[in-house]
Amino acid sequence: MALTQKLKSHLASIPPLAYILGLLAAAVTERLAGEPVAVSVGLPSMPSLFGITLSQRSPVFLPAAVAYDLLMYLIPTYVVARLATPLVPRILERLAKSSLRPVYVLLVFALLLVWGGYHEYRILVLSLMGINVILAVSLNLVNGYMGEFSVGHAGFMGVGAYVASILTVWVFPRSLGHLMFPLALLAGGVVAALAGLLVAIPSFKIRGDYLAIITLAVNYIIKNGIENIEKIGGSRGFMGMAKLTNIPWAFVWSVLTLWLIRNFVLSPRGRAVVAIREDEIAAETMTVDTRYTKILGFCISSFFAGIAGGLFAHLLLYINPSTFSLLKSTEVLVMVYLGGMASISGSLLGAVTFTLLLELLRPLEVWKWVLIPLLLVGMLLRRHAGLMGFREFSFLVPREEAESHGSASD
Amino acid sequence: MAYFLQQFINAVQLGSIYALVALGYSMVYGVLRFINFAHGDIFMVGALLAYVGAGFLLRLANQIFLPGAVVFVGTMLFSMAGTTLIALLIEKVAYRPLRQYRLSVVITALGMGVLLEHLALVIVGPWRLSFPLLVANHVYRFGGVSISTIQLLIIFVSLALMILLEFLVQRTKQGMAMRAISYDRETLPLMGVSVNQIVSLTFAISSCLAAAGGLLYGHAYPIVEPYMGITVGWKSFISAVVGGIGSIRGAVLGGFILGFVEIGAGAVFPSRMRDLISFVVLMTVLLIRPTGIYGVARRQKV
Repeated sequence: MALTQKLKSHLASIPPLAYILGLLAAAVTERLAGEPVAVSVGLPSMPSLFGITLSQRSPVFLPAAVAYDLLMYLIPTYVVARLATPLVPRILERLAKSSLRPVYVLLVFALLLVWGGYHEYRILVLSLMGINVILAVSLNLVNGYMGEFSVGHAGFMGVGAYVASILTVWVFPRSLGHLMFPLALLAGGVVAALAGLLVAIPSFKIRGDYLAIITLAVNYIIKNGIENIEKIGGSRGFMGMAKLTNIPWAFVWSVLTLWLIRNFVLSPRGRAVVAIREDEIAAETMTVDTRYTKILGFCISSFFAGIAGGLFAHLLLYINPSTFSLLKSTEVLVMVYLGGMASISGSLLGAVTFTLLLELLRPLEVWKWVLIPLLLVGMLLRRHAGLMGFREFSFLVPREEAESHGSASD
Repeated sequence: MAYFLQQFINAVQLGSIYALVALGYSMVYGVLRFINFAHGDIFMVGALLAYVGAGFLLRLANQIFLPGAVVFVGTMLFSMAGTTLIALLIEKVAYRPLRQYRLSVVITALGMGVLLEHLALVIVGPWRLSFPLLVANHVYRFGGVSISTIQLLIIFVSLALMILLEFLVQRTKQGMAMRAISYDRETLPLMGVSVNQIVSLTFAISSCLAAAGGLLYGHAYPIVEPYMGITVGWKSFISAVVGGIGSIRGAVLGGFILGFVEIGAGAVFPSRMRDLISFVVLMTVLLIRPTGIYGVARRQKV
């Protein structure tokens, strides 16, 4: 017991920046020496996701996979992090306080690129992770901060996916692919935001469980509507997109989403959103324009869902209406509640955990969906508000607030 | 006219199944203020158990003589018992410990739904099982209108169950306790009523109704499969909300309204637009009466 305590406090004494540097070093070593090391410990090839998939396929590989993870990730990370620890205060001193966050973001970006940038499967997983982060954070704005229960997020995602794909396939010249991609995504987001009005306007009169059914109906209407438009393929789906989504795009958009929604939530208008959750009538008497605030909240949320949809379409290169059914909405809900209500950090954590979990459990096939709900329920029984409910990582808390309250959690 | 009557009968048949399942949503909501999103899958479990029970009893009926009514009632009781057990287990494990956290319990309910679907998928496989008919089907014709034994059976059984439920809720002590909980949840325990018992009873009744719904659905559209609970579940949920969730009469009325809307839309528009039309109609109903037909807007304190 004392030993684990000691280990814990020792690991906690290493600053986060040192860990990031350590991970970066591990990723670089893997890139240089991954293949030969994998072969020498007895794996058939370099494992794509920590060797878990390999060891599930045949347990024989389990010890080799553990050895590989130790050699390739844990030991280099620890060693470099330990070595970098004394340097970190000096680095932090050099940097102006305002440029700290960009440096972290850049380092994480470099880490993701080095670790995943040259491996098809890792690109897929990391891009999906980015898309899921966007979906979860944007849904949390409505479900966590505004306190409404939206169960139709996938509908808006579908709108964005279709609009962006139609633009890149039929309207924009193909040669301009990456140049026009953001424009297509933005257009998809804007149309999705307009679709968000379908929920926002009823929400003036309809509350709670009744609004949940409106979001459900909107999800169905969008899905069924697309199915009935023969021009874009109907229920057969739509394809022909170029593979435009990659790690940089997914990363940029998810960081942008995190940043914008965090700032929105901290802005006066965002506080008004929280006020609506706490007590709509009280908010109204305190001069909050509830209608405008609700429209804004729903539209921002569905805007980002649309962006995520566009990225999704250009990652999988094939979409059909049933991709954006309630099952997808449920997945996003699970990410949000797994991570925690009204917490940007929670949605980030929830989306990352959920994506990884889905990939790691893939070999279990159907059993995966038996296991995941059990894990979710078990987790909720222990922490009813999700992993990070109503709390934030310290790097997401604004400096003034962190100084006055101390950071909520780390 | 004959065409119209024919569609009317079809609508009543569909509506009574929706109503049976909608009652489950509504009763649980009335007692706990909580939407049991797993209820559609409870319905699916009911249908699958009915499939199993029917298979067993039919084989038994081949060896010893069993009248058709015994087989039917036996299947229904078997399915009801099994479904109730599963629903009570879910309530105890996944809902009760989280009862005071309203949103977490909604998520566990969604999770339980996914769990049931995929457990069923693991156990019976992804095949569409064709449901055995437990009654000899005979089609009666009146002029241009035809009505089958199965349609009569569905309408009769569901009406009987609804009347039974009405009696249970209005005339028995347990029913009174259920109504009392939805009226004032804080005071009831002070009167010496065990809330947990009443909640369990509510779950038991609602899953019995869902099981009956599953059995009847299996007769009307003789296919059962693990994902069948999703569509029926959501549609019944919508019925409950349109009628005013929490209200028993509302759920029945909502079920029939949805049945009529679906059949009506299917008769006028191409059938693939059916879902679209019914959802649009339901959204309109909610826009006009935001708390459903029988729902009372809860007074908000200012």
